Amino acid sequence: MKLQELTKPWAAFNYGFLDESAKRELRRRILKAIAIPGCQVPYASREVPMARGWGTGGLQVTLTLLKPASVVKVIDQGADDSVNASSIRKFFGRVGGVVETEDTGKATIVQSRHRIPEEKLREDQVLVLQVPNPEPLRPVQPDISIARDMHGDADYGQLWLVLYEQLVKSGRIMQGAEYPSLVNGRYVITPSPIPRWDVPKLNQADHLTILSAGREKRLYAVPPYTKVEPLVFDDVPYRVEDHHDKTCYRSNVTGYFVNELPQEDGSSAYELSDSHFGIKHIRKAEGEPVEIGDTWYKNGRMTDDRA
Amino acid sequence: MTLSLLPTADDSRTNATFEEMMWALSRPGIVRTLPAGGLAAMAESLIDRECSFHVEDDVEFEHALKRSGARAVSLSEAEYVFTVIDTEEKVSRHAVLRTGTLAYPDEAATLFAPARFGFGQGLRLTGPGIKDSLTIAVDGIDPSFWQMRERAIRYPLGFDVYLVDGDDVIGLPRSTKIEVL
Repeated sequence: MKLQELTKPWAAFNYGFLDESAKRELRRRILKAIAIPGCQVPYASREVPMARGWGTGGLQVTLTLLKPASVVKVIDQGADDSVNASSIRKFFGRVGGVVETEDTGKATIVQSRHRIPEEKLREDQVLVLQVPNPEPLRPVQPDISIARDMHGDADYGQLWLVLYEQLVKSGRIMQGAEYPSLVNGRYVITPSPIPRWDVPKLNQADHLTILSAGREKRLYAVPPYTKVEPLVFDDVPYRVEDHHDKTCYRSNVTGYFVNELPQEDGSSAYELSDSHFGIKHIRKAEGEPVEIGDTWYKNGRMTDDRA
Repeated sequence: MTLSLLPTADDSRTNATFEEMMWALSRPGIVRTLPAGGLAAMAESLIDRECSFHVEDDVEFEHALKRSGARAVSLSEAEYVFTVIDTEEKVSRHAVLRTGTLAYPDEAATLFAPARFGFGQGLRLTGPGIKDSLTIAVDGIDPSFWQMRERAIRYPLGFDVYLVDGDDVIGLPRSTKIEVL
């Protein structure tokens, strides 16, 4: 073996920003994560030109998957046009030469923070979720080594205790985001801070979901057609946010997850959280030929019988 | 600064190979086709000096893998195992494969074995990644392998398998339940 054989010709920049050894490591970890749905797999989490906590985990997974033919959509709280989403999308365009899109249906990779698009994702699409805290047991067990043992033993009883305490204190479950969910009947995950509204979209989904926490250096996956059950009590059914009757003031669409906008007179206006979904509806109303994909929720109710 | 936006031929090959491997494991039983290169391309896209591997009875391939900087170790220690399991005797040797620990079930072996798809032993697959159930036919794998696999897997502990037929690949993660028909 010669040194020459182990090296590559010099280049100023590697395609997709990450070097090949970082990509190989992520590939190995992603495969193991897919093989054990919901299991938190540690990875190295390289430096990227962005502060930890701003989506570096999702960024590294997307960079690993990137090829010039990729079509990438990036969302932040449902919006394509926030500073965080725009700059991450622009970064993929610069280091990967990929096609940038805001249309869920056109994307091959959807990187998201805090939302899953309202339109159903297809079998050939990958959803990459940025995760700030991958550990569902953290509220009950701050020591990550002990938490890991608890995952090994499937010792999740204390998570129900948290939900029970909320129920006793407030009369209903107050967990608004990061709702603990059981994947494939074995591992409890935090599905990243998506609202309760979005958790059923992971159950038996057509698409592959990879969740990656860059700061915590762990990633996990939910393969397609995998059971994802939010933790509930037998006699207290899972409840999503009451957004079924809210109407978006811009697009006039009812029955999807909305942002509440406080008004001067004390009342509230609502706008669709999935911004491009709203834009599509507005364009369609104006007579443009826009194709709106099938949605998980119809008339404000989860209609997909798989969920 | 000008950015080099185009991947090199190596980058494209490993990226495309990995993508097929990812979908093969996400959708167990569905045949995915690698762009080229078969086993060697799969090894190239995953293995480097941070890994350990084991090759049974293929000195040339072992030499090629060593060039990646990976360590050649025994069957029971290897993370990536390239082998042939077409007789009962060979299958029984693989009972020692790494299956991980409860704290780190990901520290388990990945097995690559040649097979022929479309005829031979019928297998019904269920589990994550499979809509309802899926029936496949695989030849070139000794029937005792499926019993050995079932005994070895104490989910989430277990090893993951790639069956390789030239450039065609089927992934069988440990989460897949296999019924021998």
